[in-house]
Amino acid sequence: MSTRLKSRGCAVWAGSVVAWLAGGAIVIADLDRVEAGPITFNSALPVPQGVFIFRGQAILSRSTDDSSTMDRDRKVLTIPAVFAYGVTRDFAVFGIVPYHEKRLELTTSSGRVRRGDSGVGDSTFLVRYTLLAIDRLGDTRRFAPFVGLKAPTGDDDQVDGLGRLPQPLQLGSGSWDPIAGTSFTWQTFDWEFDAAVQYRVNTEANNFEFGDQARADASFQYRLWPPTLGSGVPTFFYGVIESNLVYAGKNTVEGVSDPNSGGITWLLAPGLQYVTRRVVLEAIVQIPVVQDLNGTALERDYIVRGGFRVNF
Amino acid sequence: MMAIYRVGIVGIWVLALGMVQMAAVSAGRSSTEETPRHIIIRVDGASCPFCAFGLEKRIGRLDGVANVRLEMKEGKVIVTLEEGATVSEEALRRAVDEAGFTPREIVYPDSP
Repeated sequence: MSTRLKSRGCAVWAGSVVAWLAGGAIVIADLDRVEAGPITFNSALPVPQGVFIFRGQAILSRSTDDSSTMDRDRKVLTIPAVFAYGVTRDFAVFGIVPYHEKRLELTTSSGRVRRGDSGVGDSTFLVRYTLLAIDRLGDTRRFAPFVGLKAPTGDDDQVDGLGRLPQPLQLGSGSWDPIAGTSFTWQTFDWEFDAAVQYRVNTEANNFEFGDQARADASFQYRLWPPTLGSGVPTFFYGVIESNLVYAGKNTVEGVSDPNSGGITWLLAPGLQYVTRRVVLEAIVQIPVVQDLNGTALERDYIVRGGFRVNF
Repeated sequence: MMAIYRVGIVGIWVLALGMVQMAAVSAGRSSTEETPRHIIIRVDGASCPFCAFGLEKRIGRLDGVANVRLEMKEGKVIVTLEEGATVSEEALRRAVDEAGFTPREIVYPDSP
């Protein structure tokens, strides 16, 4: 692969690679939770035995805050399909298959160029086990660790008129990446609090290795409607505020650390949720509050998500 | 003339028997509707609407269960049984447990 990259040799391609690497790529579009609960990360709520849950979401990320001279504009649309199944009351399995549309525009010595690709990306498979469950009337507290693996199901060698796409623009990484974390949920009739930590070890493929990613998330959901509970199972309308703190290590290209990649991002996200016994509808906007990225890494403007969940 | 008379008599008997049959079925149906059997299960941990589905599904799958209704605020699952059916407490507790929640007391409100 190294030989093929060198054989391209054109200045535009080289400039694009450098530009992209300078942009970095902090992947925050994690989506591996399906129960009612936080919108942007894992919860510890149960998936009942024998129940199947499907979740769909559209995630749009825009990044134009460029400290370099390339005036980069990155837009990524991700549509993940998430499947969850309760094997037992405590053991659940999850599968996430995303569809991506990635676009990057930048100014090079040859003018304005646009690169990108669209298609199925890398899939993630997780298993979660509830270690602790404390139930009371209208109150549940859960603690559930999880482990998983990101599989290279997305194309990782796409090319365009300028040559091979830089690795962060590829639909897949080509690597198998293990994931581990744990989640906590405290849910009452009136509100819910969730917290989770997760670490992903990114491994090397195509002489490229994304920096490892660590994240800490928190969510608070407050029932806005109905003001008091009536009989039966009423529909809930929640106001949501979430926090995502993400650390990404520097990428490595052919063994050399990229100084313009990785860093720390903290996002705050207000959202809304409509919850019935069969369906959840939700929307949220993630706004970067702190972005301490390395070098000229491209900073994110916002992330917008909208989606639904259905149980069967 | 006698043949017509006999046909008429037979027809009246058939009609009368049919009416008696319909009355008997109607009485039986009424008696079924008047004697529903309920079981109330106290459940802890079900605190959002999306969680209710799994609970209702697990219990609803049990043989003999005609209907399941959750009163979420009170933490009660009201189970209606089919006529003549029985469901063990063990099966009910297991169903709640498999749904991911904690079963507490089980009450039989129809019992004398």
